Amino acid sequence: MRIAAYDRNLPARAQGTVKVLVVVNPDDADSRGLGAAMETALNRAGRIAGMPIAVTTVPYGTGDAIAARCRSEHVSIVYLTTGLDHGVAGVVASLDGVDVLSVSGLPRYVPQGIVLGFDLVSGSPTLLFHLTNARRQNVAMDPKVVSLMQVYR
Amino acid sequence: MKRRLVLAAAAIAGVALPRIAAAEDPADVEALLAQPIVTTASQTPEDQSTAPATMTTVTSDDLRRYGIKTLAEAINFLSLGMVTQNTLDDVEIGARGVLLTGDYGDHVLLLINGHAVNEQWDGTAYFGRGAGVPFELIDHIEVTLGPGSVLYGSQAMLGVINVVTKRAKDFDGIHLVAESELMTSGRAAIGFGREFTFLGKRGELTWEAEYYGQNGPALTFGRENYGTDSYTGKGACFNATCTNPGFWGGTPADQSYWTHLPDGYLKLLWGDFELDLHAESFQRADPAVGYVAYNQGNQFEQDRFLSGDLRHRWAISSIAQLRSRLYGDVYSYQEQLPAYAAFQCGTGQLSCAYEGYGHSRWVGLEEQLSFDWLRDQSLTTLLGIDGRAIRVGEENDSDDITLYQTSVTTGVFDKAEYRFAAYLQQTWRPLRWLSLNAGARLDEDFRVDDNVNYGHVSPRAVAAVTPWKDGTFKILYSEAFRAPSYFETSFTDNQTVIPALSLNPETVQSGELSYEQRFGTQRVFIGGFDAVYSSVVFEQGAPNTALQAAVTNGTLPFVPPNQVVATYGPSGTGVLQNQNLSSIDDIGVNAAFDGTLLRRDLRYGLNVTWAASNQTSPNPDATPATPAPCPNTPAKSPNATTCTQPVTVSPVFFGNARISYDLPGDWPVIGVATSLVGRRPAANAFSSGYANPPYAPTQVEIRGTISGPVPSVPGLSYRLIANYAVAATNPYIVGPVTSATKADPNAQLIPVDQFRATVGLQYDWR
Repeated sequence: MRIAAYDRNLPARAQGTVKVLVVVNPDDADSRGLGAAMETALNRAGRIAGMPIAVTTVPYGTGDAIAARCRSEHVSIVYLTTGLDHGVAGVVASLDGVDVLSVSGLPRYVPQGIVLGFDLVSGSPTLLFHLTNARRQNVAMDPKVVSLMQVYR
Repeated sequence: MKRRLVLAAAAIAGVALPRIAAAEDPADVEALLAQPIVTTASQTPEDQSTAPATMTTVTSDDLRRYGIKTLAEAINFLSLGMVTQNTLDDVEIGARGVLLTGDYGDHVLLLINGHAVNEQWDGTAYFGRGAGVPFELIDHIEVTLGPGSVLYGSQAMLGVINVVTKRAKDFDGIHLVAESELMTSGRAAIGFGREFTFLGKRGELTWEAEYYGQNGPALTFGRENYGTDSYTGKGACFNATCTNPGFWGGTPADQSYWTHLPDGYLKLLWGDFELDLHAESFQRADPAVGYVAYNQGNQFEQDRFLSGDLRHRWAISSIAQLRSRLYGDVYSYQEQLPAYAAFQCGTGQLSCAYEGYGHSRWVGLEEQLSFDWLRDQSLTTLLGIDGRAIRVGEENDSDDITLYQTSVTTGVFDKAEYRFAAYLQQTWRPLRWLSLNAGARLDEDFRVDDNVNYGHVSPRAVAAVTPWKDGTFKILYSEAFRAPSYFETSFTDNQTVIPALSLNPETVQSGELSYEQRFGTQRVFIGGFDAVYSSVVFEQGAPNTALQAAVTNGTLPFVPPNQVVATYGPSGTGVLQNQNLSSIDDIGVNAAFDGTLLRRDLRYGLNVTWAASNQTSPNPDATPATPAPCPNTPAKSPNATTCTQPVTVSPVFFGNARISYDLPGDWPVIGVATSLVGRRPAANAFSSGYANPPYAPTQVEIRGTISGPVPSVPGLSYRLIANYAVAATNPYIVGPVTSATKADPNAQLIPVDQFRATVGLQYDWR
């Protein structure tokens, strides 16, 4: 998750505390498990780019609701777990123009517009990056890191 | 698909993210992305450096850039600690200095997407072309060294190789492949991958089918002067027309080195279900078979495999999940080997055709319950049970060669077996720098028709310590076993070999200490190991009690009780029986270095293994009552009932090195890989009757590969490979002459196809 540290706009967005919103599908055990794992991993990591992390896990409602929460609570990173296929398109549309880094552990969400994702290719982790939506969401990733990523436009 | 994706997501959440969280600059990100995540050692996604075994991951990209066409080549050119040797029939495989010749891959467990390939009659698994896995479909290969019975049961003595196939997103569209090893072989393949949604659930389908055909090269075997056939009193015939009676070889084997291999693999994922199907028919002729006729086109062996694996994953809660697996396999083996010399045939036959049949089929159910207690992969429990019902059978015919009508049939059986296993694995990462893994598996085999029960417990305990950044110490203890195969316990020709129903499992105890350090994108690994193999199956003169029993139950022709030992014992025909009489001490070092530079355009790696392995077996020149000097020892050597000698075919030193460079744009990738296998004794070197045991010379193979897209033709790519082997022989004695004679004082070893070029084209239509 601290790949977010390479987002040059993160300090301005976070304003001292990196707020992370973990979105889960409450009806999906995998989603709940992955959300809990992410929350634990982030709390263990403690800091991103030298700033403390505040993690909140929320059930998925609508894309607009997530976008509204990101705006009102100055969320820096929104993380989508598994089991949200039905809502990804809505989330992507709602986050258009919102100053937030959207992240997912499912690789197929990135071509749909989530900014940052992860995949396993030939047994090695791979970073996925949606460049167009990154610009729309005011994410300015270090070009050296972007060069290590699989980029979607 | 969901299962795999959740697995990947869990891996990223539990493994990759904490690593990435520690990154300080882009170079660290690059280094961390280069670290493989593996699943074979603990059946849980984890960082390779802290996995509870020494492992190598070979990626699909590696396979392409270094011109790899078989699992054996991947092992020899790219992996650490394992080595294969080409027998011309397929390959034999060993690890860490132990290669048990003639085992048909029975000491290494081969998995395809976690499904065990080794069949139940003889434990057979092939690691050359005979593996029957279309290579374009392979995502990566995880090579695990050392005992792996803790999760996988029998066969995982030397190691476990898991072939993981691609997901649809990485194999999207239609794929056409044509490849040829010039002048000798051709391969054509078609594959397909697609994601879909059906009844509201996501799914994916990947499959590939291929045909591989090979004919030649026409290797020339040296002429061997066998001389007179003791049954006819005339020169032994090694061909149908009895040309050059008494002599074997001497001409190019242009009829007896070929392969027909159709195979295919399909994986279907839908919701929480996964279905895997694998089929292959591996028919081939081996020109090096010395106990039958030379260079006959009508000789062959054929293995057929068909397997299915249906899995379901149920996330019970956010901490618990249940994985179920229903699987079934069908396997058959057939050999047809003509012989025109009476001494090679059954009693009363002047010529014959051996026809051997073996088969096995099994169905099983595995239930696996896992708990991620703290929901962060730091404290996990894996519980599993596995039940399997098996049937195996065999028949050996020595036919009239002209009519192919059975005249002598031996060793017929059809038997049932039930296997049950339960295993437990606990992992705990109490501190960021400490990872613990402990577990054990209980296996119980009930061989119903033999009234035999094998039971074995296989424990493993591992601690991985990361005292400083990117450095990992690992200490490991593990045990494994191999239940004796039915071929070992039940084969008989009613003349020279009798069954051994009371064989016990072979076992291995292994300790290992290793250290791995990463420097950015560079990795250095060194590890030492010490393993003891016990109760190793060894064919030896049958004990008197076994001879008496074999005569009583009709396995051997009747003779009066007071003549049994004289007739069938060492002073008579010398009837043999498999026994648990051998042991192996194995100690050595593995070391590896690999890395990338120039933004991964330049890649390189080096793997080396040094292992001293010695096998202690009964002295063939002695009996328990009458010790004698061991064969091939200096004069005046002390009398002994057992002899300790190097493990044949197994090299003391072996390894590989590789380097590749990605030229920019549409220019090709250039890869060079080399493998080295040190001087090693030939199979049966110490029991073959040669005063100086034959050794194969050090073998160095160099392979250059150019691969890339064909300019101006979207979707079309090419691969050009040239391979050169420096040494001309491999460590297997060929021909009917197996001991020193005046005419042939030195053993003849099988020849090597020293130079071969390969051209391949692949079209990907997405």
